[in-house]
Amino acid sequence: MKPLHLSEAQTGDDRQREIWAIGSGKGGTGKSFVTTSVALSLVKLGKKVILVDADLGCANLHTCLGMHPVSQSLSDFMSGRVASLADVLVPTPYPGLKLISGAHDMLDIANPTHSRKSALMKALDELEFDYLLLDLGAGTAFNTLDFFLAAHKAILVVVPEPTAIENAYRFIKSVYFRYMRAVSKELKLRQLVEEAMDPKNQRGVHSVHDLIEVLAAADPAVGRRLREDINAMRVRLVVNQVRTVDDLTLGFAMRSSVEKYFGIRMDYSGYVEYDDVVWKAARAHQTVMHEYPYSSPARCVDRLTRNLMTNQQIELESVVTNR
Amino acid sequence: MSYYTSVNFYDLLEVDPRAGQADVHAAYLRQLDLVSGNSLATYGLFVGEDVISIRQRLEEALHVLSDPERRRAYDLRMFNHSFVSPDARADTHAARPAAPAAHADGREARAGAVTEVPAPEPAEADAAPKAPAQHPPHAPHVDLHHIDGPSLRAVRERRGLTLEAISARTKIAQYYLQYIEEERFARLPPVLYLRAYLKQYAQALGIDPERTVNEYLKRREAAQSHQV
Repeated sequence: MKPLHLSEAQTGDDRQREIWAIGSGKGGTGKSFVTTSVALSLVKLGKKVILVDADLGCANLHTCLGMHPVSQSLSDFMSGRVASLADVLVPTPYPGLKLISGAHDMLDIANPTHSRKSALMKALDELEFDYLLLDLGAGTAFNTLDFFLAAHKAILVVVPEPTAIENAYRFIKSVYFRYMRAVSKELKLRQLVEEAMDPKNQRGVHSVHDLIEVLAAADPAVGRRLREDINAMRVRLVVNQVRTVDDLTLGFAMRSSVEKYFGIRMDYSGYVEYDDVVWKAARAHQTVMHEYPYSSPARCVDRLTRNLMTNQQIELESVVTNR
Repeated sequence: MSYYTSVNFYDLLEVDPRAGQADVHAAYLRQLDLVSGNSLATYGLFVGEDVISIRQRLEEALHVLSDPERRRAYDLRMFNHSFVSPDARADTHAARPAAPAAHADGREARAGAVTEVPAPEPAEADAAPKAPAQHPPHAPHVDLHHIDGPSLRAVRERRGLTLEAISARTKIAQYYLQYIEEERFARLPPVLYLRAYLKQYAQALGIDPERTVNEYLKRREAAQSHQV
């Protein structure tokens, strides 16, 4: 039974219950750090949180939480060794936070079939939580994209480096194109999408906007639906390892460019300032949120978490006045 | 291609339709910077020749919006009315309030650029080009023959400023600004503070602070003696 905090009593039955997926175009962006920190920030707010290491193949969230490798993992569920996901749910040193460890050292699990993935999403949804955070593998593997699309909120972590930005755009494009492929049931449409995936395609289709136009021309009903769906979707951007004001304002520029070029919506949900405490905490098998709760990264994460919960964004004005 | 080629010039540059020349130019440079190839924010974003057509489109936007005549024609075509482009006159006809009728398109309405030091008679200069016929129907007509709550609000709106923006600039709580505009005198602070608030508010709007304080306080007095 939950302790009856005032905040919980107030939120009552209509409390949020959401699955958040966190991805990044490339490795080394601090995605797992951001994920675990957001989870701990949510726990601090009295939320019931489950962290799922969905980096199938290279799981290490347990390490980010200062835990030893966990014997039960997603692979036990995926391979059918355990019947219920609840059996692989393990407690963490942090009350309110539970972990489903990833499928380490099980290469065959890294590419589950579609039906297996649907079963997993369904099983995840049946667990008891306020927030379930899916830490996805870096890159644009299909299963990563599918988890990203299946979540209530899709969060993309970048660092202010050309390679990370470049891959972030590749990631976004892949996510939306994958979605459009899934919606395009007819063979003819599906072929159009696949053709468009090639950057050198003959039709000059480079953005989500372009592809919708092409599909709408072939099938107006599909075009209408896609326009509506894609208008309702949004990617939430997090800039990690911010060292300068330029790094920080990067999020605004990315949002503006991606909206106009791809024709999709992006929220600049937050940034995390660079600080050695992140490295120090990792070395000591500690978490920044608990060991350095007043450090700038921890405060940035708290703000990010609030923004994610309430669909808020970083305001340009608040940034400019601090300049 | 993308929204870069289909959105209107204001959305393209991400400026308010009432933005002045300086803001338009700064916005253009900001957008140009993003597609220049050196920008981290768009690294790997644009494919192939798209970047060329985006740059052309940005230049086109600057070409139109930086010229008052072209801008007015564009506004009329796109939105059916012309937006006030506040400091357009400052560029071409610096300080010629004597002949406002020569520029009947609203660009004579010199504005918010003067926030720090108001010109000797800024309120007069502001009031000069106010003959209603000179303004497009949608541009709020501001009568600064007298200064009161509603007219302060009208000036603010014509400048394209939100209460939030004024509040951020003056550090006056937004609700006080609102009470000033709504003339809810009972909710306003004592005169000593109100005087300072009015002065700052007037400065933020680029109108005569002294006149604003005097006239507004008179209105307050009148309203209160009326009540008693």
